[in-house]
Amino acid sequence: MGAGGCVAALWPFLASLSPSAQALALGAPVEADISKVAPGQQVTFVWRNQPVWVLNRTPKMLETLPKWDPRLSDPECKQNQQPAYCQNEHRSIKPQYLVMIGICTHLGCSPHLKAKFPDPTVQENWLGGYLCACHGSKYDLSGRVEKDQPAPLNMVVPPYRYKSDTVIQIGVDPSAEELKNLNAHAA
Amino acid sequence: MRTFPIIAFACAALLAVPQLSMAESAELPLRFSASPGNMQSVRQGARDFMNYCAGCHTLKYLRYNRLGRDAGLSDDVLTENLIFPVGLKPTSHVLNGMTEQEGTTFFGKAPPDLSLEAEFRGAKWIYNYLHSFYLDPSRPVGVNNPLIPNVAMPNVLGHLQGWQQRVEGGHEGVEFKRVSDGTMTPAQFDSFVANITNFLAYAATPEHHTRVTIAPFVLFYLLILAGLCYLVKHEFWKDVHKS
Amino acid sequence: MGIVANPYKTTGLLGWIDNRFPLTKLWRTQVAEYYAPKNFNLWYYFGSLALLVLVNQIITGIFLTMHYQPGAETAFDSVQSIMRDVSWGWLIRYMHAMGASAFFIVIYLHMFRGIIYGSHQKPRELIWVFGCFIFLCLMAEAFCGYVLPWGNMSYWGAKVILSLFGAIPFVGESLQVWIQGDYTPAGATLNRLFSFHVIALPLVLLLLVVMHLMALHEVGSNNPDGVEIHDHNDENGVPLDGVPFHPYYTVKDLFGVCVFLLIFFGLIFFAPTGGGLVLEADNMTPANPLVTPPEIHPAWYFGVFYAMLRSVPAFFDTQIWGVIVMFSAVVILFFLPWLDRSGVRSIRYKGGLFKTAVAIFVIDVLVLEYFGMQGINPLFTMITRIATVIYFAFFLLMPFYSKWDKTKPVPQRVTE
Repeated sequence: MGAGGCVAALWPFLASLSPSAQALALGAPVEADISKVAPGQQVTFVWRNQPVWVLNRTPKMLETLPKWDPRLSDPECKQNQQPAYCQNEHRSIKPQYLVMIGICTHLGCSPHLKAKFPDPTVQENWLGGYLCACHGSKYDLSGRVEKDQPAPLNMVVPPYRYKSDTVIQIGVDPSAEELKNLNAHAA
Repeated sequence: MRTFPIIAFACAALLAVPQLSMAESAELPLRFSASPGNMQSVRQGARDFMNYCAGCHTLKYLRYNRLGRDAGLSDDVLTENLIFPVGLKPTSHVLNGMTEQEGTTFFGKAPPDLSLEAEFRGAKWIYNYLHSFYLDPSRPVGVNNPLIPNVAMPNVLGHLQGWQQRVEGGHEGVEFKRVSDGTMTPAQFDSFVANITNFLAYAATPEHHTRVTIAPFVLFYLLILAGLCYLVKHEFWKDVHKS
Repeated sequence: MGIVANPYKTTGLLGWIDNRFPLTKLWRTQVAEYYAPKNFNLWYYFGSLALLVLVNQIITGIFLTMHYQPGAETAFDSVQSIMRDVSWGWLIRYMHAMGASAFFIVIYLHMFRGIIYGSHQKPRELIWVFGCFIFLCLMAEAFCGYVLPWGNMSYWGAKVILSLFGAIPFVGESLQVWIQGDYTPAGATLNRLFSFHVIALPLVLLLLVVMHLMALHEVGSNNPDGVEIHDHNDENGVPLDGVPFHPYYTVKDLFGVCVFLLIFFGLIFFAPTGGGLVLEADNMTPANPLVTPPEIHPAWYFGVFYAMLRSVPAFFDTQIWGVIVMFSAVVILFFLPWLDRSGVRSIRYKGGLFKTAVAIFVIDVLVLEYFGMQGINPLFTMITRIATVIYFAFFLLMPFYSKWDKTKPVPQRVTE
């Protein structure tokens, strides 16, 4: 009896530490205008107080992705780090635009875009990608992590949909109809 | 006292760490060491800052009259010479810069507040940065800077320094070639930038003057106290060591 | 039942108190008639200095709390207000910030003293264990305090350290959100760390310090020769090699305090940021959840442990291993009394084997500290991996080399 009462009394204190209703309210989706993101450029948007990158990948950048495959820990993106509709090599709805939460899966730093290659200051035979300065984890231009890095997983792709050709909505999945169109395109 | 060498070694190692970690400042070729206590320079730098920088940049943690008190300027002098916009009082912070909204509209990025810039980037960085603008027609403001690639800030000091172009080679691949003379000689411009940098170094650490002024008194007191304590200790321990 | 007169026969106000509270008894047994070995050397200053720094942190902390405003929007501004608008606020804040670093310097030297003179050996195991708890508590306290100014290093430091909890398999992610009170470090996180920093952890810390000192006064102090002074008493039961703590060690420690304060205030006045080690340049800009500072590393006093954390690669899809290694590096300290199988306490009478091990350990810790503060590069990672192995080898192999070590005969009485 006494122990039960103690646990019951403890609960409000422990529960008070979880996110408040105010914190939960900030999770709403945000809209991002990607028309001004020049080829090769990356722009940061904020969603749930986290950086969400939109990287406009040039054809040359996209070419590097298959070359990364043998070096990667999860080249086929089998781990659940992206919505199902982004489980492909470019990890995006449109190959050109990468939409990704810019947070290293190791300890939550924000990595830096190192698109230029070769760059011996990053790595010998660097192919262009992301480098986390905190603990040196390396990712390709799809946010797929290299083998034997402190970071265990690919960076997270948030749910998003194209509201129009130039505006994306971060934080919501595409509608069932949009998904069908996507699959039709892919096939 | 055989432990003394070990402690000395440990202290030396601890002192060596910051030296080693600060050694990499190769991208700042111009030597500069700020003197936030040089009030003549700070006064001049404050005046130049208000003329050239304060139109865009704020110093949201510095009050005009704090500067006045430290640099020996009365409220009247402040109001006449340094406080430009109407509505700011001598007790106000230096807030006549742009709002974030205006800055984003004009430059695509709001000019940062500079209250702590000399602590954040370092005085040497500021001194080098203000010297390193070069002409770059591909940029919206017509200039670029190796210290902040694709910088959004225009070179407001260009007509004083004279305009320069970047040429390959030199230190870290950065070298400049003057293409037109400014209204100042290079030596005048150096001291102009030094004044502004000293002012910003002062703005970042306004307590600097008090700190170094009271230091000798406190340390001298502690030295005397340490000496007295040693004598008392010696007196008490005389008998113990004899036995 | 009448009052039984106290055995100290004190009268007046003191007598009145002594009949109700053991004031004279405490003073006599704990200070004036607490016999400490007469051969303490330089290493024995750091215990009393740790107490001094603790008092400094509490007093400056109380005054900082009067002006500091926790909250994501207000914290950074209020720290600048302390530095500029509050009279002498800058001095109080510098004393608190420098005090944190001084605390770790003093504590590290104090711990090292324990290792080389065998102060953890029987019967002082609990003193050592309480001390390790103090160290652990101090690390948590320092981390919470580091976050409070809510500069960019504060923010990302908090993010990295709180993400350590997220590395725990299965429950990690929800645990991290629960600890943070939000999905990323935010105002809620800052406020709870503030609560921990100013009330929860200091209470625990003070309790532990009291227990540490009670255990010490129960068994008596060790000394550089590692001999028990209570084995040789005079006819009154007073140790022949002991001196009363007061006045002998109070005056001696007072001298140590003066020298310490000279260095302490010298640094505050002429290098308050400690060359970026005490207050970092990257923390002079407000927290920005979108931009990680170009080089993120912890405060210098965590360098050793941080170097170990990042030297361990992830495998089996989790990076929990680095976290385990880092925490083990602290936890292993607790077991030192039982890992040390040496027949003698002091390094003075130990053989070459133990002395070599300690020398390697000191160099190893300095190497870890140095590389913990450097950026990433494959060579550094390799060096820290080796250094991490050596760190653990020092402790895990201790039962063997401390036993095989050829010790010298220990004198009956202290030598100085």
